[in-house]
Amino acid sequence: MITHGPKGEGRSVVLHYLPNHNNEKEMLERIGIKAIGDLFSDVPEHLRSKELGLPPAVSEVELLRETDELMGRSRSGNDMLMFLGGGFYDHFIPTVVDNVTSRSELYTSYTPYQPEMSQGILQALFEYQSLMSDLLGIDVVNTSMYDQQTAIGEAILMANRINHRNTFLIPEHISRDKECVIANYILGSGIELVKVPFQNGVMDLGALEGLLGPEVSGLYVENPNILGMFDPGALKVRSILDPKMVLVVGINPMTLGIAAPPGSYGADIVVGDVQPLGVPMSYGGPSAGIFGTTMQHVRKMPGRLIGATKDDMGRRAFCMTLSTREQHIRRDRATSNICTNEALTSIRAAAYLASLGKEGFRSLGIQLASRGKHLSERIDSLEGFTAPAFPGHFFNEFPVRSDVDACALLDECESRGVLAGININNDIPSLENIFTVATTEMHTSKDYDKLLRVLKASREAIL
Amino acid sequence: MRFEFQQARWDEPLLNEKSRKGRVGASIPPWDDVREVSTLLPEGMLREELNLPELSEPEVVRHYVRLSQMNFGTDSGIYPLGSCTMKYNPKINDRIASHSTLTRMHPLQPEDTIQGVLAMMYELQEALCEIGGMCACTLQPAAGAAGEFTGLLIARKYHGSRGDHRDEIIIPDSAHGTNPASAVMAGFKVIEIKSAPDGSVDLDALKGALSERTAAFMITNPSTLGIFEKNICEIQQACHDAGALLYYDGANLNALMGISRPGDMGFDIMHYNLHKTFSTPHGGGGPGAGPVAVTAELAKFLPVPVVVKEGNTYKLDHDRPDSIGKVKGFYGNVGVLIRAWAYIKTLGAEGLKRTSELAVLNASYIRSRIESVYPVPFNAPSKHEFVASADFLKENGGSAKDVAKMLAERGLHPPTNYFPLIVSEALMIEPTESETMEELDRFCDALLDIAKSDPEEWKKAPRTTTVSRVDDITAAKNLILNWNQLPRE
Repeated sequence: MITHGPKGEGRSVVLHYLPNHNNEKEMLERIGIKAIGDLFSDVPEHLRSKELGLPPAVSEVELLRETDELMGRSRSGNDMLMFLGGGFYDHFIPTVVDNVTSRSELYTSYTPYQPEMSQGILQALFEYQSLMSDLLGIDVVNTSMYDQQTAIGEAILMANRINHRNTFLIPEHISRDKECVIANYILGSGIELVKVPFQNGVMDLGALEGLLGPEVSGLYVENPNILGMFDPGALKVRSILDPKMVLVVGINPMTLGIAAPPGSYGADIVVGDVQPLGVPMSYGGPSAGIFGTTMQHVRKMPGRLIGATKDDMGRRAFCMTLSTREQHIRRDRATSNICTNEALTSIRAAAYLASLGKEGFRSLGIQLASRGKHLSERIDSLEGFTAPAFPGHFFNEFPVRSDVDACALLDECESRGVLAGININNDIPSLENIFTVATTEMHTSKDYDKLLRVLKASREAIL
Repeated sequence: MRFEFQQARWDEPLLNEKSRKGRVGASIPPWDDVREVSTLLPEGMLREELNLPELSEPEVVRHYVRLSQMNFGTDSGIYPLGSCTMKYNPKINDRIASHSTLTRMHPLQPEDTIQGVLAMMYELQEALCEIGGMCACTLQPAAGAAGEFTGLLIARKYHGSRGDHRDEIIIPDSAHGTNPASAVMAGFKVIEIKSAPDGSVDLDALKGALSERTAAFMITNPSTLGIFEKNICEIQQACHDAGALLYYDGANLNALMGISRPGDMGFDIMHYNLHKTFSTPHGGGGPGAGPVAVTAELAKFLPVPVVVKEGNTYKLDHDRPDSIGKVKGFYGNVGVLIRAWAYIKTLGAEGLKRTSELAVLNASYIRSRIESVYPVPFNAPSKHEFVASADFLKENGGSAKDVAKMLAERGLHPPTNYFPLIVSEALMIEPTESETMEELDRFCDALLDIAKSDPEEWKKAPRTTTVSRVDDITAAKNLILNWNQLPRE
């Protein structure tokens, strides 16, 4: 470690990331200039910065101490019982997934512009595309969008590129987070959003038919939806839409161990978030947005694609392909502005799927849906609670109706050390006293016992 | 030809080719109350077939270790990819971001349970504002291009709030491709202006393009040629006189930390690439983070929520009626943000300034060693990167691409090629502050050696990498985008 001059309160500046700190003189001589300041002689004097007002530099041990102190002022699934979902879930991450994605030859590389020396990351991303394509039942999946929210925005723009129609249908029941992001993505496009009403917790197909017309570009359906409910209508909508309309299906990839792939019921574009597949929650990111489509529309899709080819000795090799859709070639006519994406998170998801494999992923899917069913039945048996709040099927997350104010109830639960769910009223004002509860394989039977006790006590405290 | 480098080559099959029936690579916690799967789904929604590979845990580990050995990162060697700032990614930052409190923190937890992480985010917002000379900051955008999009939505809303409908963005021809792409996504028309003969912004062209329709002028400073914009004061004046905003693309901020601040130059909006300037790993293409900072006048338009401090409590402020809304789910790539927080804490003001000085020193050192052979078309002094030309190889049938492949076979990651578009056979070189003088010399020696090498050898490169030259034309013509599309062998 190189340090230099104690400054102020006896503190040294740490320069262990800067190997040439002490070679300055020699290098300047070889360049043929006197002082390092001469390299900046073209920066006008009045634009020179004063010393930045930042906290003093800290050593590694101090930084760890401060981190521990700050993390100590935060709580997580480690020390708090939670049943939060809404797109991010506290699933178990097999150690092997953390291990293989910590290989620094992979994570310290950039976009593989030089395929000959980047075969590792290229193959890993090609495998992600393939695994996800099989899981979704759709031909081609790009290496990632930023998250599901932005992937939906990109899907709506792509639908417009496909059919040049300007009305796009989205569900009435959608998270505010998604709706706000989508609104910005389409702002420059002239596309108008129209909401499809819900009935009994799922899309109202009769109402949908009434909204269709020649100006409709496509429809976004979530399966499962914001309430956690599988939407049986998703299986039928393709036959309701005219053939030119683009069907975009949003999924939770974890459900696809047991649920039919959206490609099988006619999706033209599939979007989702890889977070459930071995990605730490990290307070909301980084994750990666899933984006898949059919070969028919591949040239209209956004994002990076890896293709298989050969090297000049005829050996299998991989490289980025169809870059002519992308911003660094096509500039203002690109299919999207995305450049840096979430590649390493996609590789996490691939390593996760490879580890669980066919049997593991399917049996985990059955377990999660069974746990959801089990927990909903137990909550439903409590006085004052109905679970699920709407009839139908769900995976590991479901809506609960309470006979007391849901916001007050969830606050009471928190004061008893349990985050019991998400108040859906924040996203959908028309749904009152409904909250969603999510469970994962991290929970034990005792955790469920505690949730039940706390829900009961919290309700009684309000009454 | 003998090389001192040989990259690993494993004939590593794809995951599906390694699969053997009945193998499992992870343990699943027990659960007793398992239901009949057909009762768990609506009619017709049960999956019929699931094709996932079957591998044991050691096979999965060996697979990815072998793939990693066939990959080159900044931890492998010099990676002087211009405009990408491939600096060293400190390991302490990864350790902090892997803290199990963070990795199991749900984005919808109540604010009182996440005070420590909000404190880190707040401190990062403050530090970025100080480094950029700006007033307020959002951490939400996931990457540089997402930052540009955010900044342009802010520009759109700002003008709209004044009843001023401006629909054009001016961009120099040397700009990153994301600039025009982001402008179109935000609903603007792009007006491209040619660079002056010395590589700087052509002030007359700019003035000619500015009008009452101009919403903003987007530039990097230093430019993609690595040149500090000598007319920045006049540019600022001209833009503001025309009622336009000035946007700073932060891709090249590594040249200027603690030296000169975009806010002081008169920029109104800027983004930062935390995966470039602030050392977070590039991850083979991502994740990154592209925070945006603005002047006081534009602060009210930032996306919701912004982290604010009230007394000793941190809050997510959603109550911002003039906000543009949201550009990404939740609050941004927090795992990336935390790494940048750690980096700024480690270096402090003096360390950041020294970082920029040494980044510029390293680039200037390479330039001084090679420019008599690889001409640098613009004579101005360069900063953290510069653009040289391999045009002289053309007479013997060579190209910038050949130079790249010959560097690769010597174990050196090539610079960016063919960008910016205004230099023929461009080699855009950005070594960063992380390289030793010896590694810089090795890189320069290789470039000089290549220039003298036998043209007969050029197209044979690279011979020491995992594969030899890859046929990207066939890849685009005969699309194979998943393993089911591979021809049966």
